[in-house]
Amino acid sequence: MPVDPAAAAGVTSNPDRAEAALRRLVERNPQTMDRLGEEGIARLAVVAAVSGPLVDGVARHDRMAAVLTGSLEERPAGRVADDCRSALTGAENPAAVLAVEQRAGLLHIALRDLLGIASTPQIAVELADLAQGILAAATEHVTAHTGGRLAVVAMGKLGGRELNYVSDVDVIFVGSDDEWSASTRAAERFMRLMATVTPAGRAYEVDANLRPEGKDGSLVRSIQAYRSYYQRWAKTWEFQALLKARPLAGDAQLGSSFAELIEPFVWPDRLHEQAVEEIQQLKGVVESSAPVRRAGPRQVKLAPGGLRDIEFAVQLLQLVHGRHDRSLRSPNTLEALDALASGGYVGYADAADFRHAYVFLRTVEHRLQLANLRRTHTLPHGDDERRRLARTVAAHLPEPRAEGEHADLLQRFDTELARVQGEVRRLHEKLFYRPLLERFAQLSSAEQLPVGADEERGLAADAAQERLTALGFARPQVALGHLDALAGGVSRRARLFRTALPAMLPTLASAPDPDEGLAALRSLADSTKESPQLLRALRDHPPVADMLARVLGSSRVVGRWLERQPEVLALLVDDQGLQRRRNADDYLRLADGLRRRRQVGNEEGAALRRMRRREAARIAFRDLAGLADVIDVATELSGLAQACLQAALDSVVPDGVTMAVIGMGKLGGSELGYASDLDVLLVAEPGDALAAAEQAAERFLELLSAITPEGQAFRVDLNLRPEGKQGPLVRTLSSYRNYYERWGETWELQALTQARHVAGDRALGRSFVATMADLVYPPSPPAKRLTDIRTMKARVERERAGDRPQRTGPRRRMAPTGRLGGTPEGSPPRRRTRIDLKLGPGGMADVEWTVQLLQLRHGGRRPAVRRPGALAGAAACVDAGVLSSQDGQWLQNGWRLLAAVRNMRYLTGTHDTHVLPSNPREMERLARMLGYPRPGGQALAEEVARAMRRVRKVHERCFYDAATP
Amino acid sequence: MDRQQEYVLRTVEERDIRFVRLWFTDVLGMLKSVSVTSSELEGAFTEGIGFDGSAVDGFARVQESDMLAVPDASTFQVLPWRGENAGVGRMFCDILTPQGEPFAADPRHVLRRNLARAGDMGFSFYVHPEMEFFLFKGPDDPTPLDNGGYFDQTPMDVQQDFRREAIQTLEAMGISVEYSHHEVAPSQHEIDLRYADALTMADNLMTYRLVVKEVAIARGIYATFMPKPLAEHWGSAMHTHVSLFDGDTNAFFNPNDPSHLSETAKQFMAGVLAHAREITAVCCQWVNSYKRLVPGFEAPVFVSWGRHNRSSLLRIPMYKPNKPASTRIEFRAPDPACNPYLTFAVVLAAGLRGIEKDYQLPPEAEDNIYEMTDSERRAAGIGSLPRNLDEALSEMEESELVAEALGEHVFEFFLRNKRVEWDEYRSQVTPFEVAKYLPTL
Repeated sequence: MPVDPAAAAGVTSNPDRAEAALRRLVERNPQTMDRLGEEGIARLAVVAAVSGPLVDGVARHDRMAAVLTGSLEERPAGRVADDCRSALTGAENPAAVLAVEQRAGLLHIALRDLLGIASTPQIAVELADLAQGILAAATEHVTAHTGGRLAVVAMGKLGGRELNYVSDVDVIFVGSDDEWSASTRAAERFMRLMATVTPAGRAYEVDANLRPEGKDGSLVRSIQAYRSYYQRWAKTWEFQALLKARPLAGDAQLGSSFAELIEPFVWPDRLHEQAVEEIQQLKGVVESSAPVRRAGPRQVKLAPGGLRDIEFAVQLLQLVHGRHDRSLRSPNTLEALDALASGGYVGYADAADFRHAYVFLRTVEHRLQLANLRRTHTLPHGDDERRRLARTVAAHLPEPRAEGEHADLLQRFDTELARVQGEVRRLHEKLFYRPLLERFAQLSSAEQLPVGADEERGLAADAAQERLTALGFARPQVALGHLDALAGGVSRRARLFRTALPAMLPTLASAPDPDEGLAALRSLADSTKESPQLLRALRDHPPVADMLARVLGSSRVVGRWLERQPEVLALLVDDQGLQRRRNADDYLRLADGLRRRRQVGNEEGAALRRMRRREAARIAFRDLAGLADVIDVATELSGLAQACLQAALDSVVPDGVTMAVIGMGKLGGSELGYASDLDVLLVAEPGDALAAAEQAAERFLELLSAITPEGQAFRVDLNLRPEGKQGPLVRTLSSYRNYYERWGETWELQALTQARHVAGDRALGRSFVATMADLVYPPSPPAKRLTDIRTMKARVERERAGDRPQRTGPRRRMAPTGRLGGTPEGSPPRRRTRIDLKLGPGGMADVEWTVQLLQLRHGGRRPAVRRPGALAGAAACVDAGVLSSQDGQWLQNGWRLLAAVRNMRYLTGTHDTHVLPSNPREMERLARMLGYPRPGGQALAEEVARAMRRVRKVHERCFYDAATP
Repeated sequence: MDRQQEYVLRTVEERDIRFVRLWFTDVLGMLKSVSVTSSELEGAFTEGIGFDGSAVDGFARVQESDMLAVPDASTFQVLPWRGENAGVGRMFCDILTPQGEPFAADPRHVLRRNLARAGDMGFSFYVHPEMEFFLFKGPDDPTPLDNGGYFDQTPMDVQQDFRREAIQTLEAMGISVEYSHHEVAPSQHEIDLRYADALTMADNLMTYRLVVKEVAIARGIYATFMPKPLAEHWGSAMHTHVSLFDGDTNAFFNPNDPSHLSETAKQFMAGVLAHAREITAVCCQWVNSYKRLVPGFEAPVFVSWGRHNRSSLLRIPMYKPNKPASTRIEFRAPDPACNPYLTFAVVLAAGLRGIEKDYQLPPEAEDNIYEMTDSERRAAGIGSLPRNLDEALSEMEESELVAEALGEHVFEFFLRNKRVEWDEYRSQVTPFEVAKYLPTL
């Protein structure tokens, strides 16, 4: 019969490719073509469009050609085994026979696949059945020679009946104690048979390395030997692997005994710790890109959102809930997913989405592997090759939405793949967290439904607790109570939380303190019932929900701030506003608005205090959400303080008085922390209005520092002023000059290095700073001044050392075992138990004193070094060449790290903000807040120690060592 | 439970071992030991043994004192000197925090961390130390047992038996001995271990020191690793041969170089030389260590290298044809009373720094450096090693390299502990002073 390859190929998915393959076959093997007939050639063309090697096989093996003309009924494993048995009878090369049978089986399945007779999941089952049939025949074949009982147990994808076209098959062997050596011989012979390379290739690559002890373990074990191994030695992952174990071939009785044996190991009463860890890491795993994911999204198996993610997630859910629910124990991924959905462990819609994603990705994987019969999971890079692939999965792509839409197949394929992968990447949220909330949806609708409503759905309470434990909550019952309060019921709020929480919970679960964070969220929701900000923020701005979870999971303090000040939440929805660092002018504008609305003086400055609290909360929020670094925080807090000072000053200064506020200390340096006081001096003109100015100053202090139900605006501290508490609050500029000229003590002049105009009359403020500079920075400072400063610092250190806590009570000591030296008895040197970030050796004070001393020494001749602030001052000293750039860096880096630690300490709610915690749990928490990967407590301790050692080194060299230039 | 642990549990069962000693090392290199019964062993593997870290020198601040010792199953050995029936085993431990994180101040971890850095650069670090020690009548009686010298075959006596038994004991514990001989000073001996990776070797040295002491005690004599017990004789050194391997190839070997040294080897040497003064405090950690580093006894005094020159700090042992794997560098500063974990860590760190920063190796010191004048040495750019513990500590204190290699915790503790030792020593009035000054002043 004349063959028309072009016609046969024309109707396939890749006509060119099919035609070329058919033509090749016509040239080389005309007889085969003749035998196939029209139907056979049409079938061949369909295969040829997808797979080259299968067509070549048809040319070489009559057994395969026969498939093209034979029945396309499903072949259960039994049928396959029967066919193999008869083919093996009298065969000289059994390995070759099995290999050909396997190729013929593949061709049969590929036809059912490509002609649309069987679905992708069904194809995976049939591929597994093919393997089962062949391995069963092989087992019989070898045991017929060796005797002995042997059961072959399938693991992995074969165990789960979800095999690929090209795949290793994982097996382990069970033998019997009585005929030990025969069993072992049989297994060895089996492995040899399967490993034999024949002209037709090999049937399967059989891998027996999942057995106890892997490659080094004995190939066959008895039930008894397996039991004692699993009881004593097995690792957690081995039990997880057993989830997929399925007796496959050989002795049925041994096989089922093995299945019985492993059940309690796979489904123990207590969840394996490692499983819990894996679940907690899953989010990170899905989102991270390990080297193995280099191929990017083209890797359908391992890429984020790939098959592996689905399989792994389903398996973990099985391990969590399957212990108490036998219906979840299927080794097959899709069956397990369906069971999880009907048990209410996973939402129905989510399960359907993941089923779709899984089937789509598996289809792509099948087509990829068929093309060259190679084990690959990576999509081709080139457009043409990918388009060819796209054609073979066209039936699985969604139809173009609009008639006019240009529906390029490749584009549709790429779009669908990206959509599916994106969907899968959210599986952590959907499969693990959403069901926790859907539970309440069910509860609430059940309340409205008549008795007998569908009670099957929704995660039951104990399952929910189980899930929460697995996700990292230490007190699942309490957590569940919070979830119930947030998302239970039919209120609008509950509905909204049911939508928002699945995205927030993963973030909370990985925060420093998940339990506390969830409690804070509930408390925030409860206290803001009246104001709509929280709900609006969560509904309209999903990123805010995520940030909020992070912040609440890190800091109870900020949680409380938000509770008291729900309007901060309104600030959060403005993404732009949250991202941007505010400067003093921004805050001044805010304060100005208050003033224009005449709100500052009212109600004892309530509006001012609210502004200050709201803005401080915003800054802390930015800090914890990772949007602001320690410099940003210091700058914003300083700007905020300046604006508050300005607003307060504006409302108290009477006409006819000119007044300026001079910032000192940390305010002068623009380096405020959350808990810093505002050190200021007040200067006013003219001299004859001083009485009015003094009154104004009192009201100024009252306005800012009054402690009201809304807290303080700032603690303003005027104690640095001349004569301290005894002195007047305000002086004129000339009075200040006279005082400092005549009475100014060294420490007062040193304090003036930080003087900066921060509020009030600019001209007056500036001339104050300029006037003082002449006193602070004489061309060459008297040597005594420097000595005084050094002595003062030494005295501070001495006092500091004095309050070191003493050890109480005797302590256990280990005696040295050898006699090789040892610590001199009686004076065991111990590490300081308290690490003081501010006043300890190498603390922030060391940085500040060093910089100020350098400024006082060199500021006379080098005006450029006169810069308030430790960081700015250190930079200026480096620029002026009075501090080496490495020393400058050590000082600045040290100050920054210590300030960041101090800020975070404040946000954890401790009063000891200047002390590094010695409790390792606290250290860990601090490290997590500062963004160290887990575990990070020791890494943080190391970095703090290094920073402080270096600061101390510079301090000793540049501060105490008088010889340093 | 992995296969190693499984093996240990089985062995303990089969050989009827009732107790297992869990060993670890404090910052000063003292061996610490906790005994567990065989029934507690499985728990020790899975959960570790809790102990009070604050009781161990250099380990912890008081509040973080709960530490876990987790035995390393690959180090399991039966202690041969405890008799045949009801044996006693031992394993080295890693120290973990209660959070399960390796504890930063565990010397084993310090070495591991530095080995990991070498690993990142593609290297593994092998060492071969030559440990010397003295045998005396007792801890308070440094009378030599003979008047022998280098390689002397002294008549059949207690010392020969001693060496044979010490070697047998070491071999029984899976520690291969290369050779042993009588050393230069009377009653001084050397037993060399076959080269091994640095971590295994550090473990082996801890065992070695204990074995030598135990065997001596059993024979009624006393063994000491004190660096310089007899002023008029040679001190005890721990000359340490080091090499880096890149897979199976010796990264120090270059067939085309006249001295068969690769660029890597030269950079490594340059690193060790450049940082030699900083790492001396760790390699020679006792007041007494510096009594050894004086001219006249072939101990290194100056920072130099040479091929044949035995007074050099670094020596290149003669290349044996067709044995590229044995190309190595001999670092002669350490003494046998050091903490081997920390010593190997700082030597490695110095060498790696040389490779990373491409240090240039200074010219070889050909002449006998001791015969040069000060000016000649200065002209040749040859510095000297610290002359006492105080000077060594001051050098170390300034070293970012050592701080990084040891970690801040160990660095700080070490310096503080050693300052106390130095201050204590400084306040002593020595027999030398009494003999010299009392009659005349």
